[in-house]
Amino acid sequence: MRCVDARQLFDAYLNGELSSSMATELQAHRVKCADCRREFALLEVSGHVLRVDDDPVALDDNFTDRLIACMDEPKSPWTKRLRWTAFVGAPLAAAAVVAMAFVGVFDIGGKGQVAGVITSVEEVLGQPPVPRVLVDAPVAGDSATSVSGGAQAPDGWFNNVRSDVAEKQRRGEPLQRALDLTVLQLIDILEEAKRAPQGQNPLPVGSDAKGASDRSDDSDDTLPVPEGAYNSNTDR
Amino acid sequence: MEVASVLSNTKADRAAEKLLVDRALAGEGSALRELIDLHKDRLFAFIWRMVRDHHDAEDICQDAFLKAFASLKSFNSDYRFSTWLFTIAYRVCLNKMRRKRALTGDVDFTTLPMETVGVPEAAMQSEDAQQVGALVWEAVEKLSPPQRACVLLFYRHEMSCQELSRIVQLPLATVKSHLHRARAKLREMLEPLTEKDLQVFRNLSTRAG
Ligand SMILES: [Zn+2]
Repeated sequence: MRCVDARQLFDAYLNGELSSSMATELQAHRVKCADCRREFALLEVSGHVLRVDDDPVALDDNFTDRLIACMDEPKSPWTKRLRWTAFVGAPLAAAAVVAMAFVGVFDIGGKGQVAGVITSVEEVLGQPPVPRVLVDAPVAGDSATSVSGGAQAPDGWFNNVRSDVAEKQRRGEPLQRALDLTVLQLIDILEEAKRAPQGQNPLPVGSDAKGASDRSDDSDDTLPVPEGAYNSNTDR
Repeated sequence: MEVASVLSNTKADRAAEKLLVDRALAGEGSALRELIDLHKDRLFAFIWRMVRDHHDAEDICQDAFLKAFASLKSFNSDYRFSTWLFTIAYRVCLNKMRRKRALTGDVDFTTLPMETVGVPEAAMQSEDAQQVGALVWEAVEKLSPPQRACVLLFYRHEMSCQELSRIVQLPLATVKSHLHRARAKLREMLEPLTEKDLQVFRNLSTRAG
């Protein structure tokens, strides 16, 4: 084996992709060749450091409690803090929850009410009812008017969610994925809203549909849904 | 390829994870807590290495959990929960870094001010080894975000290239090329090491197993 051949195999070797016979050949070359030995040792040293060095920081002990508390927190104006925490039985429910949170349609804590919301979205999307929905504390809090400045009827958000999902389906996304993408985009929008300075309406009033579809999945500002989440058994 | 994984590598682990997620989906608070406790330290460590700011890292970590729970139903248990969590966290990291960059003008990611922590508390004993460690981490900070994520996930979190590809949302070939470039940059930093220095590491890794 020549040095140039050996070095081309370094990555494959480090990635664990080299067949055992090739690995043996590479080792044999290393034993003979001081240059390659050094080269490889340098690669191994950095790998070793990356593997074994301790992290100089750690989460404090209360992280879990704080996170749980944040998820359980009672309602308050969503502009102050993203509160939707929710733990939703289905992406569809999540889409509905987020959408409803914006329009302030439902009161917090009513599981039955959420189920009702979902039913209404389902009717539009023609999906079977989602059997299990668990929503502890969606965002909401504020009324539709304080959210959208009254410029948009409550139905607007719903329609936007619907058309956004439908648009993704038209582009060939399976329903589940289309819904997830929409939900994740909505979460991003919520976050942006959370960051917006007080007194400034963070939402694109009157262009909400655009707000959602601008953040299409090829925009690098949106959260992608990993492919693997929808494939079975691709994981080694 | 077979890379040792800390979490749910075996069938039994996967089954346990699925059970845990199912319990969480059924609304069991204790399951939620378990999921958080199981993953938070690794996730935080990764995020902190990405953004090098304790406060930001904690925020991102929290956001990642909230987002993951919000979409838990779409989690496919053939696939590890941690992968889903890291995918979300990486994305939030990128957004955060982008926002910071926007605030500080058009600055390269790599020149963002980083939290200084001095020489990493090395698991190695020798002073030389600590200095080498510092060199490596310095080089890690100079990597582009995808390169940094790739080496951290690969080496520190023992993930496979396939998992990396999923988490950073890039094709497998791109991930491998990021790993290659990152390795080359780290290796470059170590150019001054002598044969004697390298021997120190050989002994350390033999001792470590
Ligand atoms: Zn050689």
